[in-house]
Amino acid sequence: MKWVFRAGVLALPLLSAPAAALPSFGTWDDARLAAAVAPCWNVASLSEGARRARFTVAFTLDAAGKPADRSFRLVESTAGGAVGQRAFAAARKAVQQCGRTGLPVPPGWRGGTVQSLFAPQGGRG
Amino acid sequence: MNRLRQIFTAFVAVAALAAPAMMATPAEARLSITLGSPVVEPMPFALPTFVDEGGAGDLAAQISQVVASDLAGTGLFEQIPTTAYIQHITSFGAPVSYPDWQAINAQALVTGAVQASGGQVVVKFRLHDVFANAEFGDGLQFVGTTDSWRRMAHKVADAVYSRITGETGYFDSRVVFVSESGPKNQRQKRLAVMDYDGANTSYLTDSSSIVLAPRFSPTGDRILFTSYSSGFPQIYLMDVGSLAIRGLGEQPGTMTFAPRFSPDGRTVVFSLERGGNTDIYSLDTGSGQLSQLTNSPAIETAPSFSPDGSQIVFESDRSGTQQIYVMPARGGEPTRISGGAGRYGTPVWSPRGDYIAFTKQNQGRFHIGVMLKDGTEEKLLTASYLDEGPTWSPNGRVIMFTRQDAGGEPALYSVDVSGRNLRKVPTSGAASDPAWSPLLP
Repeated sequence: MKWVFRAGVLALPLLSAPAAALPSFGTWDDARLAAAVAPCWNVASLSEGARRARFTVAFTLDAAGKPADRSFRLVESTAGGAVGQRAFAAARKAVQQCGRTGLPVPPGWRGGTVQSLFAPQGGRG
Repeated sequence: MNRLRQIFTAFVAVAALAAPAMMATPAEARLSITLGSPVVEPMPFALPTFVDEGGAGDLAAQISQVVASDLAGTGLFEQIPTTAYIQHITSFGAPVSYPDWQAINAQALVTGAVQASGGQVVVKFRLHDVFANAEFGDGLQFVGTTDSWRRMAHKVADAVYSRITGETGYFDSRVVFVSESGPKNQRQKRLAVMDYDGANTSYLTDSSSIVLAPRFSPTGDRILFTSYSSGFPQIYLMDVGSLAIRGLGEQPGTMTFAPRFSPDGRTVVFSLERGGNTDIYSLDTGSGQLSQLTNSPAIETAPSFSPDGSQIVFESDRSGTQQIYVMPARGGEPTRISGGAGRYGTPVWSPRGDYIAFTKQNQGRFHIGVMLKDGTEEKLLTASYLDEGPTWSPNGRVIMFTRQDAGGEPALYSVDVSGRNLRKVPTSGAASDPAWSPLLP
């Protein structure tokens, strides 16, 4: 009985003070993560409309900086329908491909959500 | 006591269920990043030779090659050499080891199988999104006769292209063109038709008279062209199935040329020269009614409908130099849309309706270019001694045209609408005046 009770009590502090568990990434440069994904964001096979789409994708990275395949979701996009989906797919592919061995994450990162704005300003390559 | 035990047990159960979420509280940590400069590089894909599921023999390899060639030929995709493959696909149903394909950086994987018997071929394929560890859409299969194996390969490539790009493909299509032979002073010109990639050429006319500017009907079953068989240029209509030919819009004392179908296939627009003046006319192919659309002392030619059939783009020298104009399909005051230096001609409206392709001559060079339908955003895609006569792929992504170097023979080239991927289209001899068919049914 006491064991059961302690198990319940052990869980309570996390419920009551989640903010305390948040690491501080204030000094970490987000651009490192963006730079690691950028080489894989390839729009060559997309239509003109999909190439011009500006959209935000959310996904989770684990502690090793590896993306969770099922975590990708399109938060918002200037392109709808199939065009928006193709643009989203290219972004997802970019994160998955460049994140295969882990993307750079801040010190102390134990996993969390990344929100990425894809705002094409012209191609390179 | 039992009641208390139940409460505590329930509490533990809830806590246990909640634990992953609570343990994942750091997952509420959030990063925000912005990417602004995408890469534009061919997407690496892998396409192992399709599996022979019985009777296919060399067909499995030949179909695989055509599919891979179609995709790589777009310039949007790049095939990873088969020698780099780690997993060897020996069964169509075998599970795909995605890590093996990720390791060689394949972003798309096409697996397939071919079965042949009794003159019939079955081709099936699956497209895999390698980094998503999943199939990209359902598998598909095509059934046809043995001699249509190239068409089935093109259809597989069209399906793969469409799934990845979100656009329809253009591989299962044909191109009619003028096949040229003989010395310059005794040039022989015949109508010929080939697959879009230069394969399967056959000849539609003999070389007894000069032919020019063939154009497919919107359904691909008829071809308009200009022939000098009467001694003067006149337009003719050919039935592709029977090769039967009949004259169109014949008017005594006139010359007719530069014909093109309306999007519904019921009307033909063309140039008609009478008494030294050339205007644009339309002919209702059902009723035979002829209508004059322009009335100017200038030379007006090369009409081309907008995809919705409401407008016609054409070339005219009414301003003193050859320029591009747009007018309502029933005629009316035209609006000049070309405005840059040089001369503009042979405008062709894109099947998508957004761009107009044209030939431009400026400072001794010829160009194939595109502009929006209001004449803005002009972009020159090519430059050479002589580039002319653009024709659009069925999906509006690629332009084919004639190129001739100084002292050389004319040949067919294609270029992506972005200006990338300039390629020579293989033909057995000199070739000019290409016209792309719609996608085949």
